[in-house]
Parts: sequence; structure tokens; C-alpha cells
Amino acid sequence: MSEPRQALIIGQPNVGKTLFMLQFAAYCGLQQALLSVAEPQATKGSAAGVPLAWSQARRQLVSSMPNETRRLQSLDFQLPRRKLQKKISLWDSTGLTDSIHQIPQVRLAMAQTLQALRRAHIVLHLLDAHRIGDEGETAIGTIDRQIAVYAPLRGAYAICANKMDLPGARRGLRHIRRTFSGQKIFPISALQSTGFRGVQAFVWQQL
Amino acid sequence: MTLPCRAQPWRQGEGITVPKGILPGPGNMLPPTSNGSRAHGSAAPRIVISPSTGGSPKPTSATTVQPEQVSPSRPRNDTEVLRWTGEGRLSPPEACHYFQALDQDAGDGHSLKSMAGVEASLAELDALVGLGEIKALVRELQAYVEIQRRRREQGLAAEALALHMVFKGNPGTGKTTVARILGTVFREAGVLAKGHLLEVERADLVGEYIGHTAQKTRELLKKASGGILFIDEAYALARGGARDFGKEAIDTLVKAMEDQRENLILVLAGYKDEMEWFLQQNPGLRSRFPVQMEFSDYSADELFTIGLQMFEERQYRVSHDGQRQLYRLICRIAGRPNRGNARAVRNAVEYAIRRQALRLIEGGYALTREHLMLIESGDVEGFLLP
Repeated sequence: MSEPRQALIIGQPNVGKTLFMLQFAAYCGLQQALLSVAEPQATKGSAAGVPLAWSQARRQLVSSMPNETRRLQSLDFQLPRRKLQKKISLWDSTGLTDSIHQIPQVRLAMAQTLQALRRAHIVLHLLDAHRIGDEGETAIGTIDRQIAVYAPLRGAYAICANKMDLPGARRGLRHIRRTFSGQKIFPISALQSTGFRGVQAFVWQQL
Repeated sequence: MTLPCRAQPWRQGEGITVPKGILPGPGNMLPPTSNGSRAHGSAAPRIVISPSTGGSPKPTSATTVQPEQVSPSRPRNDTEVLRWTGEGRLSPPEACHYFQALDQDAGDGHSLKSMAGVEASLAELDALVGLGEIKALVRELQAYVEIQRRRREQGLAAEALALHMVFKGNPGTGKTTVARILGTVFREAGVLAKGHLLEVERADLVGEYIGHTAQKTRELLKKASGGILFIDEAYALARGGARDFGKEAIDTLVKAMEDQRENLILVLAGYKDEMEWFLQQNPGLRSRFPVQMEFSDYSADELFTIGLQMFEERQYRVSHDGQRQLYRLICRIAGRPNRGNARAVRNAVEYAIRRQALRLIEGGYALTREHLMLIESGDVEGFLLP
């Protein structure tokens, strides 16, 4: 059996990457969260954690504080479509900032994210449509633009405009569409699991 | 928290030049944790290093600069990009940018190297006498391969390369030679892994009993994988009619062409008329061989140049009279309907070399270097055309 293809979730801190991973895996039919974890400084690849129920996983992993995730964590599951299934490994990563972070652990975790970006087959780039709607295009970081240039050169790439359930997200989506014209853009809400169908179909095509 | 304990009396003042070797170098670099906490800790006095030791490309959050760690202005590989990001010398967008730059460098490096190899192979082709159209077609193919590769690099739709070919022409018109050079061209261009030429004919492919043929053919295909499978007189495969095992060989080949299209090029070679007939026998074949090359017969002048080249390669020299004799002989070769082209010339050259050897032995005089090299008109004379 070959290695499953890696889909990497990437984006600025606090755009909802971890929540998206958990919700998307649940949407695809995964029963519980059995996370594989790769610590930035670990010598070995990854260690499997304890299986968690979804609510538990959400409580433990998701937070409204930026840079809560400081390691690569992944879920392996079967992506269903009609009667077929394909194996996939969905990776959640540390949020990337435009500037150099002052905490060394976070910097190391970001380096780890970048390393994953270098290897991923599929890149799902999350943007916070709500914040971009509020603050305008300044909320789209240099890092976002850089990823949008770099990632498509290496493999499959799509943008997920997250937090579509919040006010002002539509305006944010318009900004995103204008800035990243030519890229695949899916408006989603990780919290409410909406818009996942398009993402699923896109990921399926790349497997 | 302060720095790991070291005797550092010089830390009392600011702006003091740090003696080399005391600060941690790349070998004994501080763990990043201590670096970060230094940024916040007020207890640790700041170390300022005179600018002459070199500045960091991006000042870190801490004001401490470690001299040996600095110098190169841009990362040279992946590991360095990641390490620098971890150390706080690159921001994530910069790291991303360097990844892209590294990819580009690698691409350019590859194409530069392979371009040189391709050019060398093409120069070998250009050195062949005549074959004007073939040379142009090979250049066209090479350009096509290169552009498809570049398109793929840029993420554009690139066609799957279908490079199977039919070579039509009489014996001795350079089909095998061109195929061998194509192998090296495609190897250098990165299309084929090995680029070797496996020359086979009907007898190598067709078996003696049912099922034998597919097995034999598959074995040869395996051997040819990564290179060019050159089937000489390919039309013979269809000659036996529908019940002949040759058909089985063709079917196996066609299947392999689809399955291994990435790593195998099939060349069918043979007389022009017979190959035309062959392609008509199997309607599916013609479309599977997009490249068709016609090798026309050499003119007498071209054959003469080839003949002289052959002598030269073998380190012989032809006397003036010998050349005249050779030209006369070649005109006779070129004038015949079933001409042997370059192959007949090669036979003539080898015949002359044998005759010269006999003449020298029978002459019984002291042999100088000059004697050993010279071909005279008598040596060329008397060659019987096949």
C-alpha cells in the first residue's frame, strides 16, 4: 500500500486551521480523532496520540488564541465519494506570520510548517474572510500572497475563505477573489461545516 | 534566566569587541530557547559586536548577534532556510520566497547541464554526412521535449510525450546511427533513463509456439526499458498473415507502447515501401507513431565523403590515385538499384584495408608509419559489389 497523499492546511494564526481539520475529517465520515503528532524538535517522525471524541478534540486543540497549535498534527482517513474511498492524510500546521516571531518555539514550529509545505501534495490555504472584510486587504498578509505564488508551483492548491458565517465575511470574500484571481477559492465555515462539499471534491480530484 | 554559565568578564561594558572563539560558533551554538528568553530577560546584559564582524541579514528580536552564524547573505538549501527560520533570521514569507528561488536555481542548473549534454549529442548528429531533413526533425523533437518540460515546471498543461517513430529508408542510410544518437539526446534531455539502443528483428520477437511470442517480446521490452527498442525490418512481423505469431508480437508491442510510454521509445525501421504496406495492415499503428522519418539514399558525393571519413576514423590515409579509384567505385555503388549506401561503402573500406595489409606483408620491405597508413589505388581496386 502506498503512502497516503498529504494535504496541508496552512494559513495565518487564528484563521481556524485546526477546527477546519477536525470538522472536515468529521464531515468526511471519520468517527473519532486519532491524531498523529510531529513535534518540531522530535527526533522521530510522528507519534500517534490517544483517540479523542470530536467534542473532546475540539476542546483540547482549538482555541481563540493565536498560535495555539505549535506542531504538525495529522489525521489519516478515507475520503469517500460515491461508492469509492481514497486514503488521505490531512495535516494541520502552525500559523505563519509575516514577521519573525519572538518566541523560539513558535519559530521552530513555523519552520516545521514550511518544511511540510515543501513536501505536501495538496495545499489548502485558509484565510479569515471575516477579518479581511473588517480590516480590508491589509489583513491579507505578505505570507498569504507568498504562499499563493509558491504553493501552486509545487502541487495542487486551493484557497478556503473561512468564517463565512460571521458578518462582513462576504465583503472579505470579494477582497479575496480580487486579490487571488485565478486561484480556486472555496467559501467555507469550519464552525458550521458549510462549503465542505467543494473542498472535498477538489481534494478528491488530486488523489 | 541568564546565558548558560560562562566566565564573561567583558560583558560588563557595552561595545566591547568580543574575542573570537569565546562566543558560540556553529559547532556549539546556543539552543534557541536561551536566545529567546534573552530577548525578554532584563538580567542579561546586551552584547554588542562591532559591525566589522558582519551584520545579520535580518536582525533578530534579540540584539545579540553571533558572528560565525552570519556571513552568507542567502540560504543555500532547504535545511538552511528552515534552520534560519527557526533561529529567527528569516520571516515565513522570506522563507517561502527562498524556497521558490531554490527551486528555480535547481531547475536552471538542471537545464543548463542537460542542455550541454543535448548539444553534444546533436553535434554528433550534425557531424554525419547529409541527412539534412533528419537533422532538422531531430532538432524539432528536441525543442518539443524541452518546451514540454518547461511547461510542466510552470504548472501548465503539458502533453504526454509520444515519441515512437517509424524510420523509412534503404539499408545503409543511417537509420541505426540516428537512432543511437537519439537515445543519447533523449537521455540528456531527461526523457529516457538510460538511452541505450536495443536492436532486434523478427526472429528475436517471434516465438515458436503459442504463447512463446508474447513472452519473448516482453523480455526484450524489459531489456529495452529506459531506452530505445529498434526493430529492424519491422514489416516482417506482418508478413505471415493473420495466423502468424508476428501479429501477437505487434499486439504486445502496442500494449507496451501505451503502458511504458514514459520510459520507452519504439522505432520501427525498414524499406520505405514495405513500411508503408506494414502501416496499412494495422490501422491503429500509424496514429501510434507520430514521428515518421524518411532516410533518402546518399548521393555519390556524400558516399565518397563518408568513405574518406571511415578511412580517417581508422587512421588510414588514401593516396591521390586511391581517392580517384574510390570515387569510381562509389559511383558504381550509387548507380545500382539495390544499393548498399553507407554499408556498401564500409564493406569497400574494410576490403581495401585487408588488401593493403596483404600488400604490405607480401612486399617484404621495412614498414614505416607512413606505409602502415597509406591506402593506394590498387588496394581499392577489385572490390566486388554485393
